[in-house]
Amino acid sequence: MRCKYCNVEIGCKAKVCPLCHEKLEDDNSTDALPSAYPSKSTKKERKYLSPSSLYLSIAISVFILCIPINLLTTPEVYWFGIVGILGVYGFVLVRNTILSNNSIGVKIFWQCVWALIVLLVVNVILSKELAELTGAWVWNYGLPTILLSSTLVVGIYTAIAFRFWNDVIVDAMCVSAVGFIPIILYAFNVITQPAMSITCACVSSVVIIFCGILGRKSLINEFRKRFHV
Amino acid sequence: MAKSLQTWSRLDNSAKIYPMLVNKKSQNIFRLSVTLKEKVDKNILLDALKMTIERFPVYKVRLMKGAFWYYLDDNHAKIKVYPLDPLSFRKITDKSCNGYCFRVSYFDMQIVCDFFHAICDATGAAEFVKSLVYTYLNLSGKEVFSDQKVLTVGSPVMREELEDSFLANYKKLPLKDLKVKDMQGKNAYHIKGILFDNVGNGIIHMYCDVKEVLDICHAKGCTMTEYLGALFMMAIYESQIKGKEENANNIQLFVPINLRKIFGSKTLRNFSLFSRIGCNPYEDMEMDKLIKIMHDNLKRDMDKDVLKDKISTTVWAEKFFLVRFVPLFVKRFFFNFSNYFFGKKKKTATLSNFGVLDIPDSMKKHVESVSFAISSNATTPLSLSIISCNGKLCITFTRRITDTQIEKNFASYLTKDGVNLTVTSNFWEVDNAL
Repeated sequence: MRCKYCNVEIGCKAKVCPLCHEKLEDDNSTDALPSAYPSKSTKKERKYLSPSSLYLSIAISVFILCIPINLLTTPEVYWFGIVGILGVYGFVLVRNTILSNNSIGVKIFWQCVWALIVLLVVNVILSKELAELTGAWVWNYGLPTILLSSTLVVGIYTAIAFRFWNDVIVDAMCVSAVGFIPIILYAFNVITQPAMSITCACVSSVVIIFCGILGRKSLINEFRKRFHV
Repeated sequence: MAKSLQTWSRLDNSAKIYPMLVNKKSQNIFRLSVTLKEKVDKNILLDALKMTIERFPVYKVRLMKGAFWYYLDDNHAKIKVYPLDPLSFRKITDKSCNGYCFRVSYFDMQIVCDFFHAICDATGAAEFVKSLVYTYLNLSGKEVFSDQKVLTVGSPVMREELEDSFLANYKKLPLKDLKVKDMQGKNAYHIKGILFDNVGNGIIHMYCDVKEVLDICHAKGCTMTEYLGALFMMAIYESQIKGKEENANNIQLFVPINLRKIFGSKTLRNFSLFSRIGCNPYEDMEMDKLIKIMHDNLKRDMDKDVLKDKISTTVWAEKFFLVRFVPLFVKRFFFNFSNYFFGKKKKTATLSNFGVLDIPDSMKKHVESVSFAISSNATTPLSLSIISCNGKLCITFTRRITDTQIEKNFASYLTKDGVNLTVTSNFWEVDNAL
């Protein structure tokens, strides 16, 4: 079948000319020809609401709803701020931890950062009401607990996922190294109660030593890969 | 000293930029597809793919993020074949392709391979496609012979196939000799039109006899790239600028140059550079003038010494310590910014001539045609790619705009010159066209 306007042969199943879009004289003449491509779906691709957008809309609605309830019932404590920061933390949890393809190290890092921010915000809001609440508990217990938990999680994950040793070992080392931050803060007198900081540093040391001894080759290879310039 | 195959590799010099330019809607993808003379069996294709990928460790990789650069890591995930997606050039993502940077699809009699440019260019990919089709035909019981034209499954992997040929041909130059100014240039005319409201590309293939086109080229004393490039610029002018625009910028085509023959490389990774060919839409719009512009520019840009200096400049940029030690997320921002000013703004369209896909005679009788296509995007909404095989030339237009006027004009020039064209399309711009 030829298009008389473009003077070209039509080489696939078609009702119109691919160039000028004029109707071909004999509709059925190209029926014997194969289609060049699968036919375009007439249905438009449905756009689903992504889980993070769904979460975000629910979280914002709850937050906005909490503001008048808070101001009308307990105006002395602005607890809607805590709801807000928990909403943000939840967003990081959904977007960065549950749904993303990031490595375990990156996921844990952002979890730690936001968990610390949540504690600091909670402290600021509650300290207005409770005069005895200083920021010390965040640093003495909050931060070491967060880092201890993350080191334990990454340590256990590394032990379980020994098949993917290469993928997780650098993350395990980096997360464990961060576990020394509380003991450093103790050295600079930011932390005054050292018990949790010492525990955190000990657990981090154990993870680092095990990773260093058992996975030295993988570790060196992974560092070369990930930090090559 | 002999070395075992590494489990990871750096991206080659020109591949480094491609992962950084990926965004929600576009990715640099090209497609090589082979139409056989009988329906493709997906199970045999999958078996052929599983066997072929083992011969090409350079493609059995997953793209990973490092602290400073992307890198390629060995991929042991299950490989799959997919039914051809009506939406052409759908992004090749970690999730959709099990981490592989290419996708093999089938439709009716076609085997379609989409490659992300980060792992290879079309010449490298063609070796893989030839090997895949050869293995497929073998498994389907056809008597085919490689005739030393196909890298067959079981043949040894050569070191040269894996090399970064940019580094192999890099010569340290003093700062003053670097060709930084060549990267600059005037802003180009941008093709206008209504973008598709989805991410697909419209594709039009024009098939014709190679001999018919070559006869015209011989009569005009030019090469096929020069002739078709001149027609392309003329078609853009006639459809978009003539009588419609005043003070339009120059029409500038980006034409990839395969460096393998010039530098004797056998790499399966990227090894090409671009030649930028521009014409003034108010002074140069005559075929003879345009052919001369194409000829002069290509001749200038294919000079080995000029190319060596260009390679040295790009490798210098990669090795420059300030670039090397910048974290990846900063590099992404920087490369996107520079690509906009040195790439997209200077480009009207891409014209890529693959040349001849050389397959053994025993395979030719099972292959109906071959096509080659490159993805287009919103800023460069039209691309032209050319390939020939078995005496049949395939000219493919891919576009992100609904208008097909440029293709129509291009076809009319060819038919006026006496070429018999057969046209096929995915009819992305019209509903119910099939």
